[in-house]
Amino acid sequence: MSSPLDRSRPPAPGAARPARFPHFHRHRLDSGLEVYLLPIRRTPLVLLERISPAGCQEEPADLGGLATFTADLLEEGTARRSSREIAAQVEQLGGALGSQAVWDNAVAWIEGTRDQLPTALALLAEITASPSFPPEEIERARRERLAELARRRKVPGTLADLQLLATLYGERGAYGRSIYGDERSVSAIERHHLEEFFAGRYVAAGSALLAVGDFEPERLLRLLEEGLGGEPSPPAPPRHDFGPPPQQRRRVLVVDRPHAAQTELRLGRAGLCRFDPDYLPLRVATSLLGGRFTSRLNLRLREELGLTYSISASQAARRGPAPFQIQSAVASESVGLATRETLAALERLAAEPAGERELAETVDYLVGTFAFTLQGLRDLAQHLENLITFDLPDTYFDQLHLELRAITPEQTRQVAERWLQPSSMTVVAVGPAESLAPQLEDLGEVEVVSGG
Amino acid sequence: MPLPNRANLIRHQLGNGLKVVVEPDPSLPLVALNIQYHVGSKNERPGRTGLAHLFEHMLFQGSQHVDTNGHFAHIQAAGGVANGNTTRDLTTYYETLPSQHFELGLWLESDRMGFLLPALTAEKLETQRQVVMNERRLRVDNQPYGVATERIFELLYPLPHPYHWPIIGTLEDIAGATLDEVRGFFSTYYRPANAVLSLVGDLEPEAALAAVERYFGELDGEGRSVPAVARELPPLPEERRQVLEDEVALSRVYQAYRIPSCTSPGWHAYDLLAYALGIGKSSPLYRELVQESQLLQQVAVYAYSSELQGVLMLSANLHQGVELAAAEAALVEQLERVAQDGPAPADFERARNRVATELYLDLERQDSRANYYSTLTSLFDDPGRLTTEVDRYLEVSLAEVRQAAADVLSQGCITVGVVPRGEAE
Repeated sequence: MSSPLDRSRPPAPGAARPARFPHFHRHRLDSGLEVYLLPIRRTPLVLLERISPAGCQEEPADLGGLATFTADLLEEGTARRSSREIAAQVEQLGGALGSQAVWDNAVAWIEGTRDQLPTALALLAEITASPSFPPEEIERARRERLAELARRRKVPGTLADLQLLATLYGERGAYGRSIYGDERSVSAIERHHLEEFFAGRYVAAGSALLAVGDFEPERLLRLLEEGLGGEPSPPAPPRHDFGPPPQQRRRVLVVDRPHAAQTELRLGRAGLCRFDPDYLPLRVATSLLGGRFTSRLNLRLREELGLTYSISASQAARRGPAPFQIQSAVASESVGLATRETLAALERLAAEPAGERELAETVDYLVGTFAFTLQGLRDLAQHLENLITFDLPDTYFDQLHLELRAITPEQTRQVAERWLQPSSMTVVAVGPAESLAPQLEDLGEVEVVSGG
Repeated sequence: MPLPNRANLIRHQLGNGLKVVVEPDPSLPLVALNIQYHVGSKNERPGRTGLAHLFEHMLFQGSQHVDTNGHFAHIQAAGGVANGNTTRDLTTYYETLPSQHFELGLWLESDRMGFLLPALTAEKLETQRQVVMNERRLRVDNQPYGVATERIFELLYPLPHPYHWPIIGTLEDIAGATLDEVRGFFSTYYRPANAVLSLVGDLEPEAALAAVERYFGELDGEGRSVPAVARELPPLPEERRQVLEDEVALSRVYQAYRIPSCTSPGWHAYDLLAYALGIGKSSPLYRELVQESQLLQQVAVYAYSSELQGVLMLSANLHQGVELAAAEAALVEQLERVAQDGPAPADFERARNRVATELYLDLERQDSRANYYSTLTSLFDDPGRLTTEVDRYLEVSLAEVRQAAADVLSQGCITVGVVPRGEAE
């Protein structure tokens, strides 16, 4: 007879089995294309991605949206196939394809079953080598994009994000404009802009191809050498120079939506680049502040005060000085209180080192949940994309837990002091100005703009 | 077929009625736990809507041996993730933990199944009531098109059908829920015999079952049987079309049809109908209405799988200047074409293949497999159905998809349009 169960304390853990990032192979084709192969057999699926240095940061500032528009159009016709034929070819066998740009780069991908692999590879090569930018597809995509921009401006959360970023970086600056552009810039894009952006940016050197899933690496490598090996491409194009980060000073903006049922609240500033040595300590500090359910902000604003359904803080990881932001949706009459509580939490983070136990739990969370992100093909591909985008060593994931565990309580305070000063945070509230302005006026001059 | 192997799946039932499913999978050092209670918003009554979901929040507020925020605190400090969700039919709680912390999940879940009431206070209820009201504003009241789906369910399922009201409830009802009602809800529905526990991951089955027995075996299995819900299907109302005004830039139209329950043998034909019609850029809805005629900016089709009755939902954003009526007629015409001639063979083939691929994508994840096992146990008492799920789609003939389209058309649909303020007809 075993002893009765003691429920008064949690059970002791068993022996830990650390999670390892799966082994992957790297090759460089003669063309200059870097190849990452990660064979893994959990389902009969394969995901192929082509990553190109064709992100939004490389587009001219007055043609905002050009990078995402170019990426969209890759699927809409090549020298050999129409938009419809491309979609049908992938979808007929159950696969899917997509192409999109974000700030750092552009990704075209195809996922499907392993029997589709040769066809999928050929098609991915085709759309990233010879898109034809058919004029009728450009006009259709433009009409769809303009409608989408109008739709997005009515989503309160999106409106808050757009206003915060435009305030921090300038309306046309990198990270300040929308990656989808605006009515003016999207209307100004011409076919030759697409062709030029494509020709300059979708070159083999500086690009990578990755495959994750159920395939034979040797066989796939042969296919790649036959299909994409080719002549050496021109050298990789230079990347955007971000220059010095924008000046940080607090502004307080209210975007007026007189009948809104709730207020979307943002606090933020231009933060650091992914290459900055403060990046990992700041990630830990951000997680402790607002990166999970038991973070300081969520426990205080949601669980103690009931002010919001959720509040979160995040520092974006990008090649340039990416935004730090705190976001929440709160009842309009509580916006002043929610903002003061948030600023107080930032104040404390910069004033006091994190508690030893709180820090250990935060690091355990970040280390422990790593295994959770190794389940799906898309998750694994995302990790490889990060290695590529931020020039990280192949052994990065094997070292990550050690680097996280080396972070000290005082380091979290120091990075908060450098990067998260409350006085440097701009505040944006999207809701009824009549109620919001008086609640925020003690933070600085309140600028009211129309919510359309 | 590399779906999970039925032989690898272990089923067990404790003396108190709790059903247990275990699938060992050592591919990663993780264990996914999924515990599902067979209760959802369909078990509420008008005037007290939102109780099942509000109650889900209360289950994260600690229990006799776990502090108020202890549930998340223990799990996150162990490097795990957790959450819960409430549907019309089921309430599910889940966590994925590094495998050495697997028993922590059992400790937490058994404590809130067996020892919740001593920790349930009026103060906690009040805080979560405010949180849920903010959740409702975030998801519904302050979201463009947010109230449209609520309106559709009201029209599609007239009272007393329990799919009539929204899962999250109305603000008024959330405000009115009392502590006694919340306690009563727990005693009625949160019992071992009304639950399934599924475990997938890096565990040894016999040791796992022994641990489950240790934590859950002693919980009280007594209690009333779960009250029946009204299943009778009232006729569709006279008024089947409504136009709402909202803070939107693009008009949107929704068309909703009643389809069979996901537990009925006919369900898969309706799901394939949705895929054949509108999933993918080579589907007829996208090709003809977005790409060619350019009436629509976006279109989506989805077959909701639910227990009493399903819904086939078509929704589309209209380009500016397009009349609602034109978009409605175009959507109906597409469905009529399938009802007349069946889907084109290429669309039928694409639908079958895509369904299989999406299932594989789901099955990569241990948490997602655990959720399938719980749901298939709650609804069919057969978690092993997952291993043959693709076959059930492959058995559907083209003629059956045609018949599914004919069936929905013959009973008519509910239409809800949403237009920019000041533009209602």
